[in-house]
Amino acid sequence: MIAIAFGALAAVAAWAVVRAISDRQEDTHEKQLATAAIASPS
Amino acid sequence: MNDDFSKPPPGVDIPPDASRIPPPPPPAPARTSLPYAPGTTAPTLPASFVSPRPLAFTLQVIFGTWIVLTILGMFAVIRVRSASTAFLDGTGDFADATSADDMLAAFNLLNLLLTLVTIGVFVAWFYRCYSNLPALSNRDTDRNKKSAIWWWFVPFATWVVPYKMAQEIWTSSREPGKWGSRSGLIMVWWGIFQVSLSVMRLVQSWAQSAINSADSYEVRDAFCKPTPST
Repeated sequence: MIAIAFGALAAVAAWAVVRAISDRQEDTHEKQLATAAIASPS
Repeated sequence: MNDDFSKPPPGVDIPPDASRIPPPPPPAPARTSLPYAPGTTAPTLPASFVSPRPLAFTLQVIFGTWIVLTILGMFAVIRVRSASTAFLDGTGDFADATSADDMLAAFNLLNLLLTLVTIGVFVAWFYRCYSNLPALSNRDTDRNKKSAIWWWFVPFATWVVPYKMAQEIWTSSREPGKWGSRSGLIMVWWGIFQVSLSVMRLVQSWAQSAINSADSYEVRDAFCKPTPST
């Protein structure tokens, strides 16, 4: 029972980490797109 | 006719600082769906960036399923315990104990399958995030990209190296010059993850030793009870 509870806790923490890292990378990528667009007018 | 606009016309009082008020800024153009400046085209994207979102979404669904399965598993364990105790006490039915045991076995099988799927998808997501770092931060990664996969399966090193790589993913997922510091969230996650693995191993070893040294006489007695004559 304790192992199951710890497993669930680890799953919740992993869920938060996956979301935080993915959002961070997407956010940086969007900023790069915006910067590149301003720097390279057609 | 007064052509000198540097001075107010006669009879008009203007506060001394009014002429210094800057004109209001022009209204901001309406925001389009893409953040491109007018007259520009879509920039050339860094070829190596691939969005980690699809894998992240899959993982979140899996983790959600895992949590639901965990709650069901707790019920299964409680049911097996009460049914087997009742059977050994002679107050329960053998069919009840068998059914509870079957349910727990099904739960364990499902748990095993979900664990394998989770490992596969998580490692794929981790590799994807690590491979994105050169495109995001414009610098090389500390380790080979493919090592983001296999370090997870190297004994002992798996306690440390994947954590360092996760922190590298966090700090380097920013534009050049804006690399952040280590993440407290990753530290907490890694601590919980390692503790949960240790607890799981401990419980497995307890369970195995309990099976090995089980009081088989108790079980034998329960099975060999004379059936009541009808």
